[in-house]
Amino acid sequence: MSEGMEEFREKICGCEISIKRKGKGKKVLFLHGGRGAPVWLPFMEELSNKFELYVPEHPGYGQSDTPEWLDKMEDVGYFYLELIEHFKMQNIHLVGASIGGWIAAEMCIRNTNNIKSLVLAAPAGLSLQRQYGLDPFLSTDDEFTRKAFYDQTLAEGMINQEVDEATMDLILKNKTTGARLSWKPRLFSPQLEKWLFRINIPTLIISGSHDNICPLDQSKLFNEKIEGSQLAIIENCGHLPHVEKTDEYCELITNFIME
Amino acid sequence: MQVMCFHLMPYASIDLTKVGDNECLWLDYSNSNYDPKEGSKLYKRYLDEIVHGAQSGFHAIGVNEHHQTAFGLMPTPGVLAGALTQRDIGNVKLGVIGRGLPLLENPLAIAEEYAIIDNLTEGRLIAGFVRGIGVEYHTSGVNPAESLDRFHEAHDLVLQAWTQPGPTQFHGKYYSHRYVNIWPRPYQEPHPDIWIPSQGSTETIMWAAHPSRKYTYYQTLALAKVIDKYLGMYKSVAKDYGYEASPNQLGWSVPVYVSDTTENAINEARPHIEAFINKFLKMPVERLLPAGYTSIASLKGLINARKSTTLGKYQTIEALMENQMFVCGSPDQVIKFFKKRIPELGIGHLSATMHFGTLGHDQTMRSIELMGKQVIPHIEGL
Repeated sequence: MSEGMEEFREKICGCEISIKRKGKGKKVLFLHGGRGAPVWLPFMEELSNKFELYVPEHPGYGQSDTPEWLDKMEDVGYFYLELIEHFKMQNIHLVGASIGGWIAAEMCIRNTNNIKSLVLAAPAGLSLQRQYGLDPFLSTDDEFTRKAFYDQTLAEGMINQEVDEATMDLILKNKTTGARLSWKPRLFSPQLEKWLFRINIPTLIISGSHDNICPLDQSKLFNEKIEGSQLAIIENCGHLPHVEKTDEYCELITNFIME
Repeated sequence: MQVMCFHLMPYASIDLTKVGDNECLWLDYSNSNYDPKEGSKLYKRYLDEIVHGAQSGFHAIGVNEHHQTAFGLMPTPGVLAGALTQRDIGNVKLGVIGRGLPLLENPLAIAEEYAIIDNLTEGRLIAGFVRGIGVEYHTSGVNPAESLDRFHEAHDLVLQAWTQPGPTQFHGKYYSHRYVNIWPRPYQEPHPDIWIPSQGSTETIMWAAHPSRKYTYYQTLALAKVIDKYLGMYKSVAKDYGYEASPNQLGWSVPVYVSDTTENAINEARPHIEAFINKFLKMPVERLLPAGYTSIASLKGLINARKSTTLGKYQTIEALMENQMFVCGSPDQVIKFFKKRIPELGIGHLSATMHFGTLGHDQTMRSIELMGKQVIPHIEGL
């Protein structure tokens, strides 16, 4: 737990979610990936030193409720557009990781009125002709972790961590919601690609050079479809640049937002 | 007591020496290992075996559905059931136990397929409805998180198609049909017998036992204590609904092998039943129980149960017989077992899986004959 980080619950669209917040300055809304955001990680601390960072847990994930209306990733996108209005946020900088990137893209093809800039890190959501990333629904937790990291010592460290029952419950909850939202089509929306041209705000796409979950080619496709977007490739890095290359990742985001 | 001769139609020609210890014969075990010349022989052989059951004293014969696996070669069981209707099967009932309703985008296809079989048999179809085991949500691509709702909705659609004069309309969350008006209609009025096979699920039992349905709950392969638990649950749920469950509402499926002596039966069956359980059925949890397939609490319970029970480690024939996951012996031995077990369970339907794993044709035929002619006459009155 970080000093000064506050954690609170908020009811939006009939769904109570859990939100972590810390820092001062420009508002940054971070949307987590498929494994949720149960704990305050070093990259969050780093970003909160420069910005007012919001880290909500998506509907259906972690400590947040699972609402009846939750069917598709675009539902989560609409939810966060409502959250921005709910908090009367303006000039938000949106950062999405993996499926969080997909959610951020679903938001921005619809409405960027209160969104100042967009970062998609190792984003999911687009179809490549052949899906050659790992199938997260068919792999074990350990297989997924090994594939997610370039540096296997980090993967082994994570695998060797003890998992208590409460954590196991959260993992199962996150997986269940993940299946609900992205089983079919597997981790993409066929509608997303054709509307990406509508994204009219500065956009940075970050990808690890060795992402085996959402391959670099997918980030390249986002880059190609979002006019004026930049692509930053972090070398010797897998699917979780915020964990594997925290400094480089935070520097890229900080420089981009400060521009 | 009605006894069914049930067949899974596995790819028995498989070379198990080439299957690694950690390999799974479901989903991604390459179909380059399937030889159509062998497969076409197997289909003919298996149909002969089922027909032999019909001619040897069984009251019913049965097939089922699985996809993309050497475990069973019946992705569209209606084709095999259709073939059986044109064989000399007398007046036995013909069960398709069952078809996976949620796996289809248009479940009316199942309403139609079943209606044809019911017409071809002049009303002797037993219509099985299943959700499909977890791996079928990988093979079909359908979202397991939608499985239960889709099952209920598809069931309502099929029943509407069978019982309400068409054209009607059906509008649900997953299925929407402006025109419901199937030809043919089923032969049986108001509709064919419905069985609900299940691995064991409280939700399924609550639903099947409901007074508006009273469907036959058919417990698939499981440990004796699991069978007791779920069949007992059906009876107590029925009581809570205010009625007594009849034996006709309860079924149990178990592999059976009969030979001249119990010693011979065990020796003959050993490699094949052990291959069936340890190779053909082996499946990692991500396939058997994908995320979303059950509630989180049930998923956790099933994962823990699986870890703590026998299904995790190699199963010998002795352990399987001990756990009543396999019934094996001389006719007298098998009669003795069922005479005790059937009244205990209070079931009116026994489905005997008369072929398993790599069991050969001659042994299968003889076991079917002994079961039909020497065992069934002594247990059908139970």
